[in-house]
Amino acid sequence: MSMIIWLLQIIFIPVLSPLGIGLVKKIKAKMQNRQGASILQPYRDLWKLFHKDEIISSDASWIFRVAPFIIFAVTIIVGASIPLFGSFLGNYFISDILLIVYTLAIGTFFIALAGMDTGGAFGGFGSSREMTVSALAEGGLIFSLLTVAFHSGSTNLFKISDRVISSYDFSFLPIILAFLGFFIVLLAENGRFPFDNPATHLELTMIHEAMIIEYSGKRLALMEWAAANKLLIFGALAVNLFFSAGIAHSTGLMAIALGIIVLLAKVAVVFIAIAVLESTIAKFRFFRLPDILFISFILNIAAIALLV
Amino acid sequence: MALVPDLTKDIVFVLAVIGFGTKAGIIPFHIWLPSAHPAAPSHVSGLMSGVMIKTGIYMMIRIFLDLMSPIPAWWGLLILIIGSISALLGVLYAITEHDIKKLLAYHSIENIGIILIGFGGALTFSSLNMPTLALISLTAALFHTLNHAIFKSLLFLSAGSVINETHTRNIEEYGGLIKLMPYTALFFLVGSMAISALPPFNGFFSEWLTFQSLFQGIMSLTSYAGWIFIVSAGALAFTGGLALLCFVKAFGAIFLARPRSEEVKHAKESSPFLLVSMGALALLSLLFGVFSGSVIQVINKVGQGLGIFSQVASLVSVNSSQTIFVGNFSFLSAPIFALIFAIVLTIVFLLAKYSVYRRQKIEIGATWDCGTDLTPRMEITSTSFARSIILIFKGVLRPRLHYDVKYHDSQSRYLPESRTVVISIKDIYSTYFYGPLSRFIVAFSERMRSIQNGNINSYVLYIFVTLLILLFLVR
Repeated sequence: MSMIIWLLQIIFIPVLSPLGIGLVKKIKAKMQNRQGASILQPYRDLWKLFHKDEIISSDASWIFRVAPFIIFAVTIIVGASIPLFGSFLGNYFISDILLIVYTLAIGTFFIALAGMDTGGAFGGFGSSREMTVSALAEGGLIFSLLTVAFHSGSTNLFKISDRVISSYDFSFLPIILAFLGFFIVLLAENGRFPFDNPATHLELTMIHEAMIIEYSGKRLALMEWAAANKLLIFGALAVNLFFSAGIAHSTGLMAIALGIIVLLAKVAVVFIAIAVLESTIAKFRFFRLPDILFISFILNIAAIALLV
Repeated sequence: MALVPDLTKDIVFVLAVIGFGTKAGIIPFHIWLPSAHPAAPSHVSGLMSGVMIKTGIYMMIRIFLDLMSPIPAWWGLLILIIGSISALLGVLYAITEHDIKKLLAYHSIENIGIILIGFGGALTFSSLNMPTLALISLTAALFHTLNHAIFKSLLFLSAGSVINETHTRNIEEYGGLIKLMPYTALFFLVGSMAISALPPFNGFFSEWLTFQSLFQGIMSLTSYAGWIFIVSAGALAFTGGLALLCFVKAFGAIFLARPRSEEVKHAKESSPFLLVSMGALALLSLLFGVFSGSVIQVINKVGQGLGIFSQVASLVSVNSSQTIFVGNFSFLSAPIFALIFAIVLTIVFLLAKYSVYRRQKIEIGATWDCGTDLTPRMEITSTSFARSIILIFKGVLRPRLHYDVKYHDSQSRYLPESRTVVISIKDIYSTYFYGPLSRFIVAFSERMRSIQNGNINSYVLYIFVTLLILLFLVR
């Protein structure tokens, strides 16, 4: 039984992440008065890419070749070590907030290097922008996780999601502030509006797309899939750490089924929020982005000040 | 030391911080460090960064924690602030640098800052009579000192191996070296990952422990002391992100894409002796990360060797599976993380390679650059890589941008012949502190010289006046 639950925990993120991307795209299409592709389209895209031949730049080194595997593996490891549907899976080994943050940074490190590796004019600028945004997002990310860690008395993610929040009154304010801070970081780390336009290939503005522009075939599929995983990971963290009600506390079949349904419903709300946000605001100018990221940091400082 | 008056102790503290801080390279007393490293051969730079500047840290620990205890709380808080400033500004200056050895020298300043954040925590806790927490902070500081010695020596050796082959320290002239010097590139990559605190390398675990000591401080301290701990944790978080940026810039500009100068195209891999020494350090960097639990236990004993901590039980415990526990607050296991990482990476690789579309053909082609000729000028340079972060922090870094356009026809100014953009960082410490100071000393000496006028009569007068004063004094 526990083997099956662990298997479910490990494959949960990669199996469902394309669905999340499909959902966001579908809502955006509806809001633009378009029919839009089916929400299963990302699965078909991945399948198609996995069956394509590849072309690799003659300037690229082994960094470019191994980066997609490392980046995908990072999202699998992080996806398995965060609370998803059950908080009873807790372990003392790999579910520390700082370990998660810096493991995700391994992915950022290699995607930025892969962007520079082909020596094209786009990749390098994508890497530069990505590193600038993610360096400034680091403070907000660590501090928003730290707020909930102080709230629950442990930096272990499962212990954080395991706590029962009894009162939703004024004492809940720090959690709201930290959630807002985390949501800003979610948009920044996943290249969504107002930081980056995931649908653009315009050389002046693209960040994430510029770094993976030289990829094709299986490696591109892994890159796209890893990006989808990362979005779902951040979505799951956003709901499970800040609003953990509904998560399964024990190994009952009913509890797990309920945990999965509640998680999907809550994550869907976050994704709908992202899609609505992307349909209603414009991308910001690059040099205004630090302001938003510092706001995220300051919100979290305020949250911690309220807590301790 | 209880007999020494407080004022004397404070004066000794300030002077010791300035003296040993200059040795360690804290900001604003750091200006000798980035100039000294490029002048020394690379292996000596490694020794300077790894060992020599640590003597300053060693003496601070000896004097403040051992000789002078008990101490007032503001000492530790001041060290925390100095550490945070050095860490943040150190990494920001490193980002602006395009001399590889100066870049690494500024990273030494950053890491000294991180060590001092740990040490400042230790001082604060021990003055507030929380020896358990003080021991964690001291362990974190000592662990980072050890780790920095390993990965910084590795980085200096691999930078030296690159400099030997290319005869330049300018990052902008490198490029594409990963194909010509594959092992050096691999070792530099390991060093970069360790210094950017990426698990499972050693840099992560000492930064993790430093973070833990700050978290404990935030939870147990109140009022302004707690705030200083929060700000230090913020500084440490941003430092980690910026260090990652800096090493993507350095590794990308040195080793990736195409060579940017003729000299670089003829580079060859360094001699086996150099490779073995770099390889050994890279391996140590990994081992000290994976087995950080055992290392922390040993360093903990070192901390307990210090008189005031001899009876203190440690809050950090390590069990048989190398899981590190910080009280009941944080836990992680380095070997299990490393094992999971290796297993998942292998599975992902095998599945993607062999389970779908096994007949996939991989073609090698030139990078598409919109139909123009692919020259090294298409690649991003380290200056333009760092430009956005420099502009974001322009209030601190004070960059100067200078545009210059030459025209074919100076009257009409329609056809530009060449354009140059110069971006430079003003050294505010030399301009506003050391410059005026040295001018003052020179001017003062000039004045004093008029006393020494070579006239025997005036010297006899000085002797006479001195004699009179002495007679009055000893009367």
